[in-house]
Amino acid sequence: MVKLVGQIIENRPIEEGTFEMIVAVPPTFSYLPGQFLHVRVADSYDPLLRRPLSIAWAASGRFGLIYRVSGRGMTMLSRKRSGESLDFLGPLGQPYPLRTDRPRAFLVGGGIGVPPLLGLAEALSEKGISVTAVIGAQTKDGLLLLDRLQPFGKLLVATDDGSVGFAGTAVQCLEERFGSGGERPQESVIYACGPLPMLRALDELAQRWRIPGYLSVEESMACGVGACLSCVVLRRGGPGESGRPQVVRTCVEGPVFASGELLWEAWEQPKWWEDTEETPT
Amino acid sequence: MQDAEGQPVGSPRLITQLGPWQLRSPILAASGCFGYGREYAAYLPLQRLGGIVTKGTSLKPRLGDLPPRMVETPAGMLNAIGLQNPGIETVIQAELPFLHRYGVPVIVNLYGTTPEEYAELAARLDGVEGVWGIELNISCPNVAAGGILFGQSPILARQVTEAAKRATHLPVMVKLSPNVTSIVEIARAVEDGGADLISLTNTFRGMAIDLHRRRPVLGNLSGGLSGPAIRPLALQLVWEVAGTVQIPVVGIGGIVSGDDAAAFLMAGASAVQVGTAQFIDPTACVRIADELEATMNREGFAQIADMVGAARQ
Repeated sequence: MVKLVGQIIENRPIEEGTFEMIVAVPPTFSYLPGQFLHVRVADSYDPLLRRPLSIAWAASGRFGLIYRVSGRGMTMLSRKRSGESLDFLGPLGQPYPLRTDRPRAFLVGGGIGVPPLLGLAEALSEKGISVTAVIGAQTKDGLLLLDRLQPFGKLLVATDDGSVGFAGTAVQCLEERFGSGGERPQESVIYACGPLPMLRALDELAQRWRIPGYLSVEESMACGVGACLSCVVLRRGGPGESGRPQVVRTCVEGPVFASGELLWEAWEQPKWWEDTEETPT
Repeated sequence: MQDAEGQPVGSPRLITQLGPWQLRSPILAASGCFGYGREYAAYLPLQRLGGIVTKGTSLKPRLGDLPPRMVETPAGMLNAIGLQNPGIETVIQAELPFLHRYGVPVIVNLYGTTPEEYAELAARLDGVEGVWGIELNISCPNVAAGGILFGQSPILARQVTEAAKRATHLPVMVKLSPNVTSIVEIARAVEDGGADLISLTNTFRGMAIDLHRRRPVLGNLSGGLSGPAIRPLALQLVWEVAGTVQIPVVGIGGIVSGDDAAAFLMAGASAVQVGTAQFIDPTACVRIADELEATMNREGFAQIADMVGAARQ
């Protein structure tokens, strides 16, 4: 957890609107899948803040960031050239736990949530886990990294418009596979990164099938180190905490949370955030 | 420079007299941007800071506002955290002892909903080890009760200040809101109420709209604007207040460099607080202090005191 500078080796489009940046760092650099870097996209103060980017993969002396070019900050990042330096904090946050007690893993990614699953797929397959990536997008043009995930196991693809693969969401696709009886959910773990509605549906699915699930959540973030309390979510209180929800920071206690931990209703209902004394439990 | 334990303490030229306090640097970490110091201890030597103003602290724990709590704006950001904090007792038991180990001056920012609550909080901190003073938050734009209400009325601002002063022996700094018609009136009122120092400004109330969802971005609807976007606005208010009151003024608002800090000192501030800049550079408070010394060399100032009000002569 330090402020570092790496040298950009490569920064180029790998798919329509999506870039991969490869950065050279000292060989001592290491990360665990699911962790992120807080990246400075420009030397100026406009745009002001760093951008949290999940680490897609790392090898000896280098790591890869895969990001969608949308908005001014990401456009500025995409214009950085090889040879320039990249200022970042990290690796930050809690990684996905690599569960070896169950032989099968389903890695569910939606839209730009796919990149961190790449390093995760590699780490799990190295441990002998049977990996299935379930990748979803609105249309086939939005599907990311299929060719890069392929070597680590099976691949299931879902598009909302049915232009390729399963017609529906990645979560519906997984549900159907489980329902058809071919996937042995009781031996499986779910890992996911993607938009909030996807994570929420997946959380519900994981609990219904009684499968451990790990969900990487994104909230609007400023400092990245736990000081500003911007990127918070509500976690259900455990039995020892009198059932009272706790405010947790996605940058420190997250971004990965276990299925069943998060109080999704809190995104919609201000009452959950009202005074502690009156907070419903 | 190093202290007795070999820790870096910065240049003696940065030593700053701020009201009753002699500080190692005129750069303090601003409330709400530095937690209770723990998160940033890994990034910079805390003992080099002029001081740390803690996260706003209330009597009881507060969960804060509904997310999203933050949105980036041009050269700035809007936040609506809603004063999430663990409450004064937890802060005293679990947070302040950590900071005390570093020997850095700690000023506890306090938030209440009545003058009596401010008094109770102030009294509770009297004599707590490592606490050098308190800062009264009468300017938070993101809570419904208390806070900014006191900062928008000269009579209430004075009452809150008096209540806190009566309750504690600690020096009392009052943090003003820019969301007022006449900040000078409020400044005079808190000075009359016995404030030892004034800090300004807190954030400017602002809003961003999510066009797709057709509603304000922030869970709290509106938020407080900070960052370089507000620097000229804050600087002008510091100029006005420093020209009005006799007590020392601490400048706050979008400071990201040594030159920015120098501008606030020259406008009449005796020291400054750095907030949002830390989110971009976690070493900001130390870097800005070093840059300020370079500014002093370049502009021909021997010590911090010589810069204070230099633009007013």
